[in-house]
Amino acid sequence: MTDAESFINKDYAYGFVTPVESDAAPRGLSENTIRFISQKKHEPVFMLEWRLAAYREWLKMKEPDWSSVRYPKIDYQDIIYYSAPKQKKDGPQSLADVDQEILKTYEKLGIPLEEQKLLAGVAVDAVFDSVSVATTYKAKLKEYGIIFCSFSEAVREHPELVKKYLGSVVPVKDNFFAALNSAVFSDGSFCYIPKGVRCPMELSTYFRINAMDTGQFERTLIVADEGSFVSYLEGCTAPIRDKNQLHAAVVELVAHEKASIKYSTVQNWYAGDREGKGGIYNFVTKRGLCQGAHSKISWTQVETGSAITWKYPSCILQGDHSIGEFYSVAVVNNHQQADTGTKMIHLGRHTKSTIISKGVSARFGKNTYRGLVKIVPRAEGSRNYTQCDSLLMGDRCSANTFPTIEVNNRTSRAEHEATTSRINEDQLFYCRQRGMSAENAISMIVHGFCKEVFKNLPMEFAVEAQRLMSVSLEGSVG
Amino acid sequence: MSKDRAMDPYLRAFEIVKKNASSQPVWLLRLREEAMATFTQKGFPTMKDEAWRYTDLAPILESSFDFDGAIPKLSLETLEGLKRNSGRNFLLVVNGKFSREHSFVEEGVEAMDLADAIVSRSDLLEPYLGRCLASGHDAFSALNTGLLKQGLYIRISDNLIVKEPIHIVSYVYAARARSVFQVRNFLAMGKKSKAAIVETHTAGSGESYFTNAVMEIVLEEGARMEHCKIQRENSDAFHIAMSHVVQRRESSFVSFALSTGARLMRNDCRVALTAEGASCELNGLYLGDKDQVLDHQTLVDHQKPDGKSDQFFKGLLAGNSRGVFHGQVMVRQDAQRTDAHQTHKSLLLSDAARVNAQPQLEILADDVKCSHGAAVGQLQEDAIFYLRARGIGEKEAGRMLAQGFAREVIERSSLGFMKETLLELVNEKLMQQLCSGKE
Repeated sequence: MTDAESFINKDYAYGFVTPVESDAAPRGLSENTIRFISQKKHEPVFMLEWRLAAYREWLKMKEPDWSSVRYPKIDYQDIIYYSAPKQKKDGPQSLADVDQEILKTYEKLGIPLEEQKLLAGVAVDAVFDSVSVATTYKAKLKEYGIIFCSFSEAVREHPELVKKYLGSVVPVKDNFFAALNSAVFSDGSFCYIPKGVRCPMELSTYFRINAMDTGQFERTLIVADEGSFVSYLEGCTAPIRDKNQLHAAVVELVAHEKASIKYSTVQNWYAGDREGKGGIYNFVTKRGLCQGAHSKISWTQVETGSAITWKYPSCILQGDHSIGEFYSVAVVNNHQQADTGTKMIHLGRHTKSTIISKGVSARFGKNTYRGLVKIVPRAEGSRNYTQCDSLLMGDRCSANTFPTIEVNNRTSRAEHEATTSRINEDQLFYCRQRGMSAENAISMIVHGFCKEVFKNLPMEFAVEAQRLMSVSLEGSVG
Repeated sequence: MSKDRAMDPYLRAFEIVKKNASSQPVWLLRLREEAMATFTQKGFPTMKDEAWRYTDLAPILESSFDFDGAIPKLSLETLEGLKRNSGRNFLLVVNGKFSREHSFVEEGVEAMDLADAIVSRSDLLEPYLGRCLASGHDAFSALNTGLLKQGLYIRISDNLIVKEPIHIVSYVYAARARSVFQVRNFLAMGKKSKAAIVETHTAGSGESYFTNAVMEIVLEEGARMEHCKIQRENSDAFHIAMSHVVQRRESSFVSFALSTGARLMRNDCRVALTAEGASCELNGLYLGDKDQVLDHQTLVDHQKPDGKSDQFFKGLLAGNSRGVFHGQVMVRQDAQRTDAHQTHKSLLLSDAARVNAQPQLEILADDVKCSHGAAVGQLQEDAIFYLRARGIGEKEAGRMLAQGFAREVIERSSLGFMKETLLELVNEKLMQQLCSGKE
């Protein structure tokens, strides 16, 4: 049990607060807050109107309560909806202009922003609290005609694209948190890949929630035009906090004909302490639209952090022969809760979807897979394969699997399989017998359990994900 | 028609029941009132209720069903037909009323009208009747309890091994259209007893009617029961059934549900494994055509350690029919070393047929082995081609493959004695299905 204790007691390694002067909106939400945000960001009128419309819709909506996650009621008037690091001038043009404090934070996080830039070959659009601080490799991407910038910049520079695609996949009225996000979203990333372009590098953003009690409401929009390809990485860590923080993001992906988007997430926000105090509420709406024929959207997520994770990255397979994929690892330890899964809506003919979900629960963790596979009558010859496995460690944790399968024509096929078990004693014994510590043995078995998902992560993330898994899990079993 | 108006006939019926309640024990009256309160409060479910998401009850609520108290005289021919294959144990329930004159059972098996049992076996019934349902009362079983008037009571004494299967035939003859019938069976099996039950639901007239059936089963320590439910109501009928099984230590429950009839049917089977080492096996096969809606719900609740459960359901859907399957496995915190499995497979035989499956696992213990699987598909083209290449007609090839698909559930289940009968019924229905598929 000593090994176990040492791991469980491990403090959150990324729990530090960068003392940066914030330029924050007053606490609470009203039309004035929204006007304040919009004004701060120098947004065109259409954006403000869109936000206000969303806010009015939100007022009419009720907070959903159907999920398996439990949390104290959120007071939406007790949140600061906008917080930006004070900027020196109009915005940093190069790394030299960026606040040294912020750069230090990134260094601690190990983001490849400076010297690592070339080594990593990653263009980072780092979101520090709510404003994009630096964007690298912009010039290189520009050569290809790729637009990769912060959302606020996109609103100003490319209003026609934003107007066309914003809210086209996740409508304002979609759900309570999406409506809230639409009203108050502070920043995020925008990405447009033109026709026939294969993005030469992995695009990446790094979110970090910093100022006290600031809900982070980012908005990501990725559009891949005909025949293009992009791989996008999203990673998160947040500093230690006592109070729960709300994080309600919206991610929209649009893939046109023969385009392909690969979206990978490693989420390691602060999960709260051993007693379940603090931690991030991660209530995110992620959805991709495979609009054109032969398009493809692939979600890969590794969820190890957050007190509560509640999200269902989904695919609407509208184009004929389009493909949707969902690979997920969700790890819950201590008092973490995760209610996650996916929706695959087959609208086009001969569409295909694959769902691989691995849930690991330890101590008091609650893990739920909830998914929907819907094949409409028109979607002839569609195919789905789903596999959900859960691993339990400790007798106080739980694992639920709630899939829904709707097949409405005879030429389609859907398969679902799920298993739940604890770590195989024989496997453990085998490893222990060969001189491995219990820690290493468990770590190895869990890695094996999640391998199918990890192999879909880009290199940079795969390493980080494996490391995160080891930290969050080893020692959960005594 | 509004939801509230749909409830009116039932509320009126309850007023009459209350007036005539003077001769009944106090506990029963209280039970009725609680159940009716649940019913009034919940009302009939709509598609907005998660549990009824895929089954539209509008046809039941829209046409005002009313109670039909008449008990028809059965002709000798009908009677012989119902008794077929019955052997030494035959219990007949006509329009929800136990028909003593036509029923017979072997020694040791106690069978009587539930209304009589409520008086004479009050002490035995009180702790059980309607109790197990109370926690998960849905509107229909609440209604059944609230309006409980008659039914069937069966008690099998401790250590008794019943040699031949007990056939319970629930026969409905609706003299006029839109009649509603309540069927209530209570079955208690003593310690270490063993019995096989075959429950058949069938009808005589072509009128539309609505059966609201509730079956409660209590298995004492070490009791073993095999249960086969055959639902072949007429094609215009509505069949809503709830079976609730409570299992004690080391008891075993094996069931098979074959559903071929009714325009809309819902078969809800809930099994509570309340003590160590109890095991259950639920099998089901449903065959639908035309506009049939066949809805199966299961809940296996593992409350104590070392329980085992296995569920295996298959569906064949033709025409415009719809299949719904919602299977839940619940493993509570105490239920360590649970072994629970579930499979649901369905074949769509026509373009318009649909299926919705929701296999659910809720696991709160860690030392468990649980799995579920669900698949939806069609007859394999290669297999059809193979048969056709050997000179077998397309229709016949389809029938052979569908039959093979259905056969697996029957072969797999531990109810050997019913194999022939089940296969015969399946074949009969398959012929209808394939004809309707060719429309």
